[in-house]
Amino acid sequence: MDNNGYVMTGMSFLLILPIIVLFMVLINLNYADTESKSQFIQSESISNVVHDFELNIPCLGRQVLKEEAFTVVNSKKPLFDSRKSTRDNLQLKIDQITQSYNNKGWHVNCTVQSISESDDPFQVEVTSLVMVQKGKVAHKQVIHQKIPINDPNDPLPDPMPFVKCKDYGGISIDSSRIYYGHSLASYLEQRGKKNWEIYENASSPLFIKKCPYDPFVGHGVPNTMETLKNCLDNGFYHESNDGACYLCRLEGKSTCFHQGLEIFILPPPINNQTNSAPCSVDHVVFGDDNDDIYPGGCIQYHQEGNLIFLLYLDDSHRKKYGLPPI
Amino acid sequence: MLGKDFLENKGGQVLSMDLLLALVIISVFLGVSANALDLVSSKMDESSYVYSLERITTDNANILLSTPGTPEDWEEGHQSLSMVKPGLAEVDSVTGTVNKTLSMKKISKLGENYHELMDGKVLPFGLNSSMIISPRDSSLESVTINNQEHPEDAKDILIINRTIMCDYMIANILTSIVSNQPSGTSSDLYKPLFCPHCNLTQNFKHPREESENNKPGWKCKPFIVTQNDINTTDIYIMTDPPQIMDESACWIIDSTQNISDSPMIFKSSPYRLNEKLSELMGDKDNATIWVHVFSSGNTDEAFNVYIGSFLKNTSLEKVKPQYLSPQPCNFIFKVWI
Ligand SMILES: [Zn+2]
Ligand SMILES: [Zn+2]
Ligand SMILES: [Zn+2]
Repeated sequence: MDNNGYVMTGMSFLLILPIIVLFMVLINLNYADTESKSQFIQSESISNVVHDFELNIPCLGRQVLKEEAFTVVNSKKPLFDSRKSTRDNLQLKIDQITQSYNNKGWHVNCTVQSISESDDPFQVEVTSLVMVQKGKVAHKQVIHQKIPINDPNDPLPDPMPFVKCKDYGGISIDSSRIYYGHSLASYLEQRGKKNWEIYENASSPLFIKKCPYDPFVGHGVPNTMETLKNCLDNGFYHESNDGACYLCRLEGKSTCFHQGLEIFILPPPINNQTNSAPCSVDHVVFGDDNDDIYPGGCIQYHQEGNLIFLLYLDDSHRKKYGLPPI
Repeated sequence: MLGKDFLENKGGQVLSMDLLLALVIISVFLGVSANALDLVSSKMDESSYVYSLERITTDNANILLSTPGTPEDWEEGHQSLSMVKPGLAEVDSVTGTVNKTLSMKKISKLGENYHELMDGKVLPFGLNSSMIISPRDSSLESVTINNQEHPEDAKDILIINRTIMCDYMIANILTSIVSNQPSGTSSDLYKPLFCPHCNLTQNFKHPREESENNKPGWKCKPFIVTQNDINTTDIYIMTDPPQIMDESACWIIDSTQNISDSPMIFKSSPYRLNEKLSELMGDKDNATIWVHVFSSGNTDEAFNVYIGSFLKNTSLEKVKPQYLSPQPCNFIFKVWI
């Protein structure tokens, strides 16, 4: 202590000051570094979580569509709102993944925002919002994805004919084809369509497969109909403005405003030719209004002995598939 | 002034009480600081790569491998390289999701502009590095992105070695006929397609082969070829393994307009199809072509058939089924000061 009562002169305080500063910097440095490192590790694992959802949503989405489609096929009851029920069912499946993350101490939330038809009718669009939080790092991302519905190894069934024929005697399935028995004929008969009996024991494919004969006008080449025959044998679906999209098919509709699909419904081979019958395209035969069901002229695409294989198409469908006009 | 004070200190002491006190406090702080320093350095040892070369490099290499970069299509060269942050992951063109597969286009673009894209972006300035992708399958070509030998006396060499999937992007698969069904297929739903030969008689006929039995038969599949494919790529039919045991095996390529029954024997090297396809197509823009493959059905002699389009003038050594799909590779990244 000096005579003025100071413990420390200004001089000695100045000597100490840099050391205090140094000390504080060191402590701060240490702290900041640990924090930034742990944040990096977390942000990387967060992007892995988002990626996990990105991979799972399309697979689960297809699984949901398949389950719903088989429910409609078996119960013959259409879905009231296929977009909403697909969204809800997909949400249930996604919640299981979310749950397993949350059990591990994460804070993960994934909401399916919408299910909608896509520009490509062989796909369904899904939009979801993923929110991930761990520690101080949070991440939010909207994912737009497309669910393919025409995977040849895991095809989806077409539920629409089952709903349409429910009150007309029902239909049966044999491996990959739908056999209408008497139901389609009586559906057309009740609507007073001429030559309805052509569709007695008609058949159409069960699973959605995309036609490889693109552009479609190639179906008419060669004029001996090998291409058309092969398309009909395999039951390929075609893109169509008039036909219903897959989501609307789940609601039992044959037409909708979206870009949709169409398929030929084949009358069984016969011995004698009938020149005109309801047009063999599904959105026409199963037309909602009576006026939607219009007739088409016959096209022979195959012959085996006395049996002739016929298809009935109107001029606009003939033009689309490159077939000779009526 | 200090000097004056010292000299004029009446007590004759060299150390004043103040100075002593200050020294005590200084030494205490010094001690505490040294301790803190110790703490930090021990922490550095503990999680070894805090602030070290290793840590920064590892983090940035992870980002390089797991993101497509910004912008996502930087490899197309729409933006000046100074604006680009590189990433090598491929983006799925259909679903828009980022794959865990590296794109060869991005890799070669990175190789062409290595220092511009790496220095200061992936690596701190002043570091040397080499980057190599070597496929697990040694018959495939390894890719050197940056080749620089590290000097003998280089200290602190860091080697990052990861297994990644790499898409070579020199070829597109048009179709494949594989001997066993893809896993996860429900056989009751999966039915092979009817081929255009199924209505024909005698040996023209290609009945649908049921998947479970091992009887000899045809497997047939359609694929679409465009005039552009024929003009800009080389299309090959090839088998895996290249040398097949099955002596009865043969193939036909035709279309519904031009059904053919002249089977060809598989050769041990890929067979170029451009002329044949161009003949089948005529002057149309695109056509649906069928490939029919006959096999004995014997599981010991099973083989897969691929049809792929390769970039024009790809050397025949690179025409292999492996290039049609992403391959497992080792990503080797060495960094030194
Ligand atoms: Zn078709
Ligand atoms: Zn619709
Ligand atoms: Zn065939």
